[in-house]
Amino acid sequence: MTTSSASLAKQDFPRHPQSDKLLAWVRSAVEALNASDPRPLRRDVRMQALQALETRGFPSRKDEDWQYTPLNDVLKADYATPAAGSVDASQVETMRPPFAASVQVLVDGVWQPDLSDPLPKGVALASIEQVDELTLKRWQQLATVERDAFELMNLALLERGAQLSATGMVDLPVVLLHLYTQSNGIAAPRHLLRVEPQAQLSLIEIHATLRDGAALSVPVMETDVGSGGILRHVKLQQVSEQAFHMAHHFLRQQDGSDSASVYAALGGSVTRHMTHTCLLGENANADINSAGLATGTQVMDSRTYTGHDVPNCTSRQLHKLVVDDAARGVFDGMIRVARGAQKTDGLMDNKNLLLGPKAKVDAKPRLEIYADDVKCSHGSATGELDRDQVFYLRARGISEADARLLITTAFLTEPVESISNDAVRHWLHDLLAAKLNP
Amino acid sequence: MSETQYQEINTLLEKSSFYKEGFYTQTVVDKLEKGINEDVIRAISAKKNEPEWMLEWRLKAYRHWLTMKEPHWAKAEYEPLDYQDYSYYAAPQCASCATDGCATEETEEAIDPEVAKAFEALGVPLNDDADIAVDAIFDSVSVRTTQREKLKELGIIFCSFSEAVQEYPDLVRKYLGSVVPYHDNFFAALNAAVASDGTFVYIPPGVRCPVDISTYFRINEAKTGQFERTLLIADKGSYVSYIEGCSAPIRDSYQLHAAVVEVVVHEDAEVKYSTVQNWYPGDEDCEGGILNFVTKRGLCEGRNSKLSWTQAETGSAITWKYPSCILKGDNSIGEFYSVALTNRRQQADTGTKMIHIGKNTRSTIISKGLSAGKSDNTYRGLVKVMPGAEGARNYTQCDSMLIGDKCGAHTFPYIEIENPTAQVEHEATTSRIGEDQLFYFKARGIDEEDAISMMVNGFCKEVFKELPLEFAQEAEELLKISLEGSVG
Repeated sequence: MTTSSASLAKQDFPRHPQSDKLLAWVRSAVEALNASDPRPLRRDVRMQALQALETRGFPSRKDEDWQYTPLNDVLKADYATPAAGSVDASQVETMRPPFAASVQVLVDGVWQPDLSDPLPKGVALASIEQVDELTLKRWQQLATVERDAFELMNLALLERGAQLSATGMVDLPVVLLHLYTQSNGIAAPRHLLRVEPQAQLSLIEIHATLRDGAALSVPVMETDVGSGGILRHVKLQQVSEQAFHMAHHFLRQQDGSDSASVYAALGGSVTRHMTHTCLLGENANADINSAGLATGTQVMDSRTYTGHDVPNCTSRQLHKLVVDDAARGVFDGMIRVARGAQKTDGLMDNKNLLLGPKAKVDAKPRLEIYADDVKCSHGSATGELDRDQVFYLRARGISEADARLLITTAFLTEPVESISNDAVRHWLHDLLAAKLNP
Repeated sequence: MSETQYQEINTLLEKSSFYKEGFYTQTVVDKLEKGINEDVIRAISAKKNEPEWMLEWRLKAYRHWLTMKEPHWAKAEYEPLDYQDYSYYAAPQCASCATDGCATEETEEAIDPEVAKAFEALGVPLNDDADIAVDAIFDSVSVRTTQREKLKELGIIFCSFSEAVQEYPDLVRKYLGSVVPYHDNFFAALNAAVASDGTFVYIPPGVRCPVDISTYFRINEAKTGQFERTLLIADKGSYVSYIEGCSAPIRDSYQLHAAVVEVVVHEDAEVKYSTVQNWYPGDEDCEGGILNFVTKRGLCEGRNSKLSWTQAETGSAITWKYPSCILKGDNSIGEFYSVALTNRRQQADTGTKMIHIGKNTRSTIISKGLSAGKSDNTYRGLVKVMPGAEGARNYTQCDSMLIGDKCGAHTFPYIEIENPTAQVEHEATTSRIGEDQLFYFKARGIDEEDAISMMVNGFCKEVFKELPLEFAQEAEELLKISLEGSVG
């Protein structure tokens, strides 16, 4: 694991010229947090992250990892001083997904036990505030070395979020319902999830804003899946059209573990989600899918890093973007096979559909391979709607508009089809389809 | 694969690790002192008796170069270079008549016999009867250009770059820097400042060049950089097939090769540009090999123009090369076929850029990367479809083959689409020579070495079939030699 992380460490961080405004915001927030927090580990963690962030600044377009993701709007916005808002039970009720689940409500990143359902058997949840220093330290040691500016920002603002653990077979899906209340606020929850060996958990994250405005959410989830553990993960991003969302999911998998995740992107002005997977134990499998629908002038960035650090692991990926109007879609995927990770089987597929006359797509499917006995491939295809398919349907009496909608919906929702829970799959499918056909 | 098999392969590799082009030619040389500054640039310009505008251009490039930083983004590790430790001009004395600019007709006698011998040993025909026209470049100067008269009858200009500056200044001024401007990148700026020599080709409208035109580059002196500049212009409706080859003696310190190639393809014209790159790769650890930092770019200016790059890359310690096509004319076509083989500690970061600007432009990229030993082989390519490129099409296929478990194979494609009517496909796979494949061959009485050679050639076939016939053979041979002992 260390070898892959070390060689990945970047040396050069081109700095965005407009970094200072947001950096100043972060600094004053960190100082306020530290002033009221006597616990040394948390203070150190925040200060170190802040210093690293200040040294580096936010990335400019010259940074290879950020060349397609414009940050000007994110850095220019005026953000309010941090405050935790409140919501009432009726607001939660309207946001509640229509399937049987244990819904845990997080308001601006702060867990609200009063608004939440009882936890299913085998799941433990605690607010990050309550996690003891020793446990926090252990998480710190596990942390993936590759840091980017927004992950550092999240760490600097360490305060909100939850520690979750699952033991045994958890039969009810757990929903983390994130509600962001401030129209121009910043929320940076950090969740620490542990799926114990042989345990099984289905986790659904929903990120939504309650008010329109240039709010910024910077969530980070760190997940450990123990030997033979199974994780089903779905993330729905539906923040408001003016909001920004810069998210990370760091996933570490032990031997024989299995994970399947789907990221569905609907909202936001500039949004980005990174699924960073490290397969650390043999015979682990990771399925990583995403579906994004960008309209108007939305910028949607979906990216993955999949590190095969040991032999005999498999990974499967399907990423789809539908881009309409003058929106921009970005996909960046990297499969890295470390020296000695023989018998790796990694497959990454990216398909993009351009609908609007000014729509743009940038794709970077990458392979970095240091072992010879591996099966790795990636494919990427970008184009417009297939006229033959439209013709086929029209020949069967379906109107042009319906035919286009039918084909586009089928294209967009393919990554969702892998969700095994019927109710969850239908829910996500319908949400994507609804945005296509408002 | 078992340990013993690995060993067998390694012994096999070591056996053939010699570089047969690694001899050194003893000759009297006119060489500039090491170092680079404005005086050196003036001296180079003066030696070539260049007009004022050329010197101005060089100085402008030099001043710009001073403001630039050596790029290190490629997936290759090397120490920053000491640019004062190179000599920027070296020429065999006898051939100086070719560089004074007024020699229009070279005779056999004008070549240093030692130099002639060197080219003979390399198998480069310097007589006018061969079915290929050759521009032979020895260190910093072009020593001989064959078949010029014959080609001249057709209106084709084929001469060294220095001569073109003297004899066709208007053409040179019109096209020099039009595809790769002097400020394009670090090495292109350096090249523009100290460009030694190179080849100039102009094919007039409607002419189909009857023979393959070729340039052979030879670095002979130690610690010299070679900075040739090639300018190839295919006017309306013309066709030319151009071939490039290269080699250098065995040295114990890195030598720098920073060339610039500019190709302009006008309406309905077609250019086929083939390269077999076999620079000295260095010793077992690639110490002393050539650093091959090259900028190659073609502009498909006119409608229906076509540019095809084919390359077989086996040499150099580090290769940094992205032959590109700017598809400006409507319906223009860009192609890139590449085989890159790395062995020992070679590092290759190579690929292409296809920039679609015109309507209905098409491009094809076929890249085959083979890595063996402890080498790293990277494909890095850009496919960009601009907003105005209605109906653009691209197909990209990148296949990597790993031979042994200590090498690396990487694929970094960049796909940027700004027009919804574009159709862009990219595929990449990684494979290896498997035990069962080897077993299959062995069971039929074919030994391991031949089996591997056959599989590798099969893997590269799509690219080799694009090379001119003799070159395809040479490339296959080269591959065999470079691969010997590396297979596992």
